[in-house]
Amino acid sequence: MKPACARAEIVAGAIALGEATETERDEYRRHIAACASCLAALGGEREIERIMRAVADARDAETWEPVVPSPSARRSRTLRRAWRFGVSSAALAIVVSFAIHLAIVAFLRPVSAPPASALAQLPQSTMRVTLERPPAPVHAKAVRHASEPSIVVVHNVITLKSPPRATVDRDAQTPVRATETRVSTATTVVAAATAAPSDVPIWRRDAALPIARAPQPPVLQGRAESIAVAPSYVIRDATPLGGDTAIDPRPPLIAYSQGAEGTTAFEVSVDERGNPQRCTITKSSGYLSLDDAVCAAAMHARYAPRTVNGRATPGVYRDAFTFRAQTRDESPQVPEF
Amino acid sequence: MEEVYLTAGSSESGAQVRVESLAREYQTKLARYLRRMVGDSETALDLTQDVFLAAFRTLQNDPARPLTAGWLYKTATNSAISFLRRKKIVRMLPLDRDHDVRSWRIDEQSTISLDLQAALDRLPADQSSAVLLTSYAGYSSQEAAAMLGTSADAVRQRVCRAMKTLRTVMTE
Repeated sequence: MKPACARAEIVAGAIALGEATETERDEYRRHIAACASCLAALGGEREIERIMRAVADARDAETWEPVVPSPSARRSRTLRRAWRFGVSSAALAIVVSFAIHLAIVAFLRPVSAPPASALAQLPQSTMRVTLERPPAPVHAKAVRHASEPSIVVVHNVITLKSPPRATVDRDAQTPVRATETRVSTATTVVAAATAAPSDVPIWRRDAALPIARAPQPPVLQGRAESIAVAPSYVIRDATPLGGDTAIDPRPPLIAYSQGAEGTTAFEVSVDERGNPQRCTITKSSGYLSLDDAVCAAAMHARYAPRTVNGRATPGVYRDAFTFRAQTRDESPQVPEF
Repeated sequence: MEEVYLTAGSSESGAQVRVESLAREYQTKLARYLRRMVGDSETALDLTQDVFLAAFRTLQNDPARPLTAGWLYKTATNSAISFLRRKKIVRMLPLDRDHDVRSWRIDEQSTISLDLQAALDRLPADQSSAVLLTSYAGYSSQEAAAMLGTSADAVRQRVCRAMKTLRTVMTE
């Protein structure tokens, strides 16, 4: 920058602040008359005054009148707050540590595990029990902790199903069961386990199984108005998205040290968007930690909603997980019942 | 830090009275000045309180010291500059100051006010403090120079450069 232009900046600043003498104003006028760049950048005297008036207008338009707390008030308030905080946090610490002790004591004494015949005691009127044995430990995966005995998680050992919904065609002659193929496996409890081993996980089996349909009405010969149209239902139940690891329970460490074992059956109500709404344990494993882990995992998953004729509706997904305690060198095993 | 106030004896009440009278007189001006500097009402309030706290400490250590408005503005400017420097370090993302201005009172969101703030946000701290101390707080260039520790000509030059930016913003 040329010295004359630097000088012009100072004079322009003086003009802006209203401190310029008349000789300085003359000096500035002469400079911008000769220097096009300064005229373009700074503008004439009127321009400078216009901008500074805008600043003053902006200042005068302000209405903000804050009340700043006085430092002494702040000091005493801070001290009081610190004192109260100290006292209350000490009391809180005592209460919390006591509660933690209670919780640990309660937790170390697990609910007595249900006997092996617990499955038989399930209410038969509302639920049927299907046993399906996975063919190989393909779906079994070992959850190992570094040095502790680990827990084997086996997917879908028990499926609890409510009785299938029956749909009746118009003539009410033959009740058509929507999940007909499942009914057959459900009635033969033990036979299904040996007769129908399959590599398909239970939550993908919908795709493998023939979809239950109402039988097509017979094509009637004759007049057009006599052709009956029977209602046809295609129902797909809610299924978790994401394959084997869709629901991935992670039992807490306390379950490992307890050597927790058992089967947790649960059901998740899934809304029409596929979001899990509520998880209910229908059969407890006897360990709160395992049940909680299963429900937390089930609520974390995403689901394909139940569809009726392609329209999404709220539905229920039912599943079960079996946890087995396992020593470090033992290979994962299929659970026995 | 806080214990210092407790142990201070009779001088505490005198310092307190003086600071409170200073606060009554200057809190609005200082808060508005700091809000223009940092562009944010909440931060401006915090910084204003820091200024009065600093005044309180100073008066406790030296009860005879005269504290002028210039001292308050100087302290405010320094705290604002150090706040802006910290903010620059902390925030790697480009600043979105428009958001701060939107939190201002609705009757202050005139075009002129927003333009001024947009220009001030673009300016380096020395230029914005120069233009705010003079045309905004009403000090002469000599007084502002004493607060900022420079010469009067330097203040005029900074005002002129700030004005260039302001002119660009207002004609955009």
